[in-house]
Amino acid sequence: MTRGTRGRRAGLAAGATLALTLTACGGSVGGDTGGGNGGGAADPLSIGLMAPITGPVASEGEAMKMGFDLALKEINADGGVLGQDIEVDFLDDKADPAIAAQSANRLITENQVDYLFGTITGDTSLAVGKVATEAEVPFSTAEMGTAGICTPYVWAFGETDPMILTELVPHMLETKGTRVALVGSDYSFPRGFNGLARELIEGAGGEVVAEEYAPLGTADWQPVIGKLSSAAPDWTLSAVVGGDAVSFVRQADEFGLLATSDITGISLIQDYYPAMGGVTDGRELVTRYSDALPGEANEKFVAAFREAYDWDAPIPGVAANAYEGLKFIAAAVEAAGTTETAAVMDALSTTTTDGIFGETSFTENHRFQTDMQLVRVEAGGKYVPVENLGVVEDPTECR
Amino acid sequence: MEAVVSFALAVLTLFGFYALLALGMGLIFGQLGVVNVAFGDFVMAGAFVMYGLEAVPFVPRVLIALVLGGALAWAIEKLLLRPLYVQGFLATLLAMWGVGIVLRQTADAVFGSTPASVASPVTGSISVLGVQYPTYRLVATTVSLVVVVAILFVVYRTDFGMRLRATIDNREMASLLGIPPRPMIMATFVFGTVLAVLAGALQAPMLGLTPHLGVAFLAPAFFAVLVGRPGSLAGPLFGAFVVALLSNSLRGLFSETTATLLFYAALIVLIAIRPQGLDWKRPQWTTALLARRPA
Amino acid sequence: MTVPVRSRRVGRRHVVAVAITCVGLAVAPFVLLPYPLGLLTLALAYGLFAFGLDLAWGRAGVVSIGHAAFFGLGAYGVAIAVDRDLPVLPVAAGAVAAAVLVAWLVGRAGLGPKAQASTMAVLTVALTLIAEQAARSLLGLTNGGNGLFVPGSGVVADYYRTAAAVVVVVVLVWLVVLRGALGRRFLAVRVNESRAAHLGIDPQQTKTLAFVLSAAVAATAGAVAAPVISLISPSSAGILMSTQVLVWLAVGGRGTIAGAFIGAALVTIGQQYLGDAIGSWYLLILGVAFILVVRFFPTGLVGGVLALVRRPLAEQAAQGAALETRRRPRSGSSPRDGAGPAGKAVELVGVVKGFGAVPVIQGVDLDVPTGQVLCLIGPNGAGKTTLLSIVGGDLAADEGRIRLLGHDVTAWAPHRRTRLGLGRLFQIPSVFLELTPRQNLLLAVAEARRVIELPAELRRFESQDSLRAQDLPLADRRALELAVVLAGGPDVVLLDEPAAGLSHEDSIRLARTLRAVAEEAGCTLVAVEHDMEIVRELADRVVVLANGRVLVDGSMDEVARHDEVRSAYLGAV
Repeated sequence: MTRGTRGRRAGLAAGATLALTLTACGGSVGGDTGGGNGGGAADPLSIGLMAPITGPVASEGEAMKMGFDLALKEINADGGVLGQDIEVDFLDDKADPAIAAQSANRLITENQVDYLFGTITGDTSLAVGKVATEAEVPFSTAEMGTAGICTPYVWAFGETDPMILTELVPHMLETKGTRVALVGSDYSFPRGFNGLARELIEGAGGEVVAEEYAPLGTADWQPVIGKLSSAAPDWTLSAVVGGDAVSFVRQADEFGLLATSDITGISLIQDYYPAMGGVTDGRELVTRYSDALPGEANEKFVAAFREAYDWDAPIPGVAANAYEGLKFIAAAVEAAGTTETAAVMDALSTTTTDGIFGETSFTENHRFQTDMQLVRVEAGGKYVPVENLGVVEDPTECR
Repeated sequence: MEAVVSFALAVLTLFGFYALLALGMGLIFGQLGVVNVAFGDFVMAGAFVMYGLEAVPFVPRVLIALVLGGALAWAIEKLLLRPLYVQGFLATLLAMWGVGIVLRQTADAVFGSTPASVASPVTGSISVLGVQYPTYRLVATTVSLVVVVAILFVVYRTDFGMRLRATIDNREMASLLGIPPRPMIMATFVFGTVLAVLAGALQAPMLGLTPHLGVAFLAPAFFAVLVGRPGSLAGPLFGAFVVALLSNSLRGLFSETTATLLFYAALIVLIAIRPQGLDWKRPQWTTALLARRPA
Repeated sequence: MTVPVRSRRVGRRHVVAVAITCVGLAVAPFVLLPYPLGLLTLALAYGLFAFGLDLAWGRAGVVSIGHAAFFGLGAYGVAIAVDRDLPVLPVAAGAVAAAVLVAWLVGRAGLGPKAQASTMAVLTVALTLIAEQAARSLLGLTNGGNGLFVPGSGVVADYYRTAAAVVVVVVLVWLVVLRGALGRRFLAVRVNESRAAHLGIDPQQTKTLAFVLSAAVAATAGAVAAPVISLISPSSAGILMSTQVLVWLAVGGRGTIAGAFIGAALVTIGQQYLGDAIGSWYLLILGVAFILVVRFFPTGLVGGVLALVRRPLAEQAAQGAALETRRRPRSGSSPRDGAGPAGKAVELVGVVKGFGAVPVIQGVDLDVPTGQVLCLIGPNGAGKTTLLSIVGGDLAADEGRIRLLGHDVTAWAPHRRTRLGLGRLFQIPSVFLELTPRQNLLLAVAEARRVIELPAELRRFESQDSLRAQDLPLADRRALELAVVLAGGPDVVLLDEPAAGLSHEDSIRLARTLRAVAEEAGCTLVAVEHDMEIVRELADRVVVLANGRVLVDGSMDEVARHDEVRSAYLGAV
């Protein structure tokens, strides 16, 4: 499960004539079609990166690629992994599961990569996760969750729903009130996110007074806001994503919903801040990353990121996840001393790093563990950590 | 009472928006026989001009957006559509689909796909019969409705409007009466497109802007055009009203997703039982040209 | 009429083409690396989808802007079967059957006699929107936006399975449908629906069949594509997929099998390599390229290339349909069995028709005995053409009964009346303009009620195969229309100003031909005519219509003597 599944890319295409060069040698039949990656000790670490840089989630894809590229540059400048530069093959997955699966296959069989990294939308992550598992190649996403894909080969660097909600819900119930409205874009991730929130809210003595979902691409939120307002919630948990998040929050402000009740949730993340026009200032949310996190590693990352990409806005969490993710993978491969899958996977489960988030490691159920932060949004897009919540366990088993 | 007032306001707001869209689309459809599938993208373009020129004060900015949109429409009609009319509506539909892609990708290239927004020129809300309603929405709705009324006035009460209706009704006859068809076609396309741009510009402060913004407006606007009574320019307005009313009622009664499904289902039923309610005017001059060619 | 048969249903070049394609497809895995092979597999599956759409859009002219609904149905059929450990083939077959059912319902609603092109456009758009939303919302069945995974069975195995399925489906559809009576009727309905109906083809049924078949192929393509796509998500059934397939077909070219596959392959494979080369700019470039194709290659790239290749015109026009048939005439209609009681060919009883508030026909009673040549005359606006259209079935009477050859046909559509023995000529000759004169005749013969010998005068069209009917001069087009109608073997022929626009000599010649037809074949003729010289040449009996009523009924001389007629109409004569 990841956020941001906004349907297939808007792309379509036209017939530009293309010269499809056919390699004369080495067809598919008889060749090694099983994938596999028998990297020896002397091989450089080669990673296949897939990011949707076109289509409806291109902004997330770009952000992830930025974080990844920055880490890559730093690692290689420091002498690479196992004494050699990391090699990266990049493909645009176009947020299309069919293309993503084909691309993953291509990276494994043609480029013989040791590791797959990337994808944003849940359907593409699922597709690549299946391909990676079949080919026995480790695969990491930098997005939230991916809890739905449970195979030994998938190592997700995103934060999961329980990590965000376990501490957020009691905090909000305590400080804002017990009447809660849930709202989200209508697809799997928001529904799962809000479903868990409901469990937690009701378990803690709160009350869900409204729950609404609107299809992706909804521009007019008036009827939804009307229903939420008439339920008179103390606060709203919003899992509305993308451009819709901006439309929803701004219209909620217009109609006075935000004057009478508080708001938190995915809609408040850094990616959407510049377009919010300041209406989310003063609100709180739980995230893992904020560019205002203390620590030398983060300060260095923020400075490098702002300089490399001429970036003024809050740095998106997905960029930080990708940055830290690649650093973590590099550390694990270094520790394994080889790019061989089994050894790398062993190393992934035992490696710990002290990076931009603080201490990080993978749990037995492949959850990327690190401190979670209660963050307050302040004017100008400062996501100020107000409380370090420590490690928030996500004990959920694979579904 | 309050519920009634807020429902009425919601319907009115949506009607104002879709009335502009349906009127523009209906004009183009009636006059040119073109299903303008890039219409939503012109809405998006209008909104992004508002975003891109944020330094300019609001009202002049809207005017700039209209001028730019008109110029773009002029170029599209002249260079792309004109040779395609004789090939029937699918050719122009596909061409406009291509235009839509180019508009979306241009916006993507220029502004990126991170959601953007436009500051509202008027903030706060005022009380309407006991209901607090955002001021800017009322302003935008009022402007839309004034424009619609002005268009109706022009169409039904002026000489130009009479020529317009004449060419839509029977191009050959109008042409015989000395109304040149080419400029009328051009004027209709430019004007219809400008209405979409205006709708986008007015709507911009309420929306999270992404290059894919316009896609969602296409289907309801299209339905509004087709539900209306054929042969009448007021038809799309009626259609827009049906769409606004239906959409708001369903969304009030059901969950959003159920409402969406019911909305389309209702339109299917409406169209299936009353196909005559649709107006698919194949431009008469196409038929005339086709018939004349062999002779 | 017998037209010599020149080509068979399956010619040698067809066999050669299939063989070359099969060999080419079989060899591909030996020369392609896995990734291009995977893309080719996807392109083949998408090509089948485009081929399916082409059956409706390219062949029968039925618009569908929401075809991914059917594709998605097939894909989800397989995905759900895999997800729930159900047998895949029966479930996929069920999905195809569901697609057929849905398509039939949509076709019934959107292709009726009153519906317009827009009706189908709107219905299909709504259909795909509903399908996508349903796939997103029915979490239990479809796993919502995350979709369902369908495992493939290796690049090469997937490729061969897809290629085999594509070849089988395409060859079957081509053999059974496109080269059969249905393919011929698709062509007829697309090129000229009204003329097709007046040859006895049921346009609604034909178009609905095309749409249903097209949906079935699209659903099959979805089922075939499912393991290749590997993750079936709501977008597989959505509006963007629906427009993609339109784009493939527009780029490749409609009405050709190669066009569907080349379009899908070019776009699917092209955007990958273009995307690799120029990153996110590829979409903008492709958008521009697409506009250029639509603007400068209206028939698609394949059409553009074919236009450069010199092919016989007839071959181009036929779109691969087999027009030449060795069929027997429609069973159950032996010559001359249709004459009604007392030999009445046409009987009108109290026919009334108005348009809105304007009454046009205000109560007409008329009997036409078998074999008679009747001319309808009258001033402009008298309702002559309207009356003819009511007899032909193109307009429905508000009141009254119409009996044709002893049957009450008041509620019958034109094609049923045609099958009963009615032939109709229009004021503007209605023939298949895109086809050659010979092909026009072949279509008529294929639907004919009986085999007849054309008058010598008209037999020249039987061999005229190197120009399109639209390039004929008006007089010849009118003669061709007559030939087409006569080839159908009618007992009653309706003519609407057959001499309009013809030179004096041409019209006299036409009148003599008509007279000869009436006498030799024993046809009943009802003609609207202005030219009194023609009327004199032609008519056994003249009926004067004025203000929607019969003013005078008698021989030419009787009518000419009639005072009211003279004052109302014949003053000039």
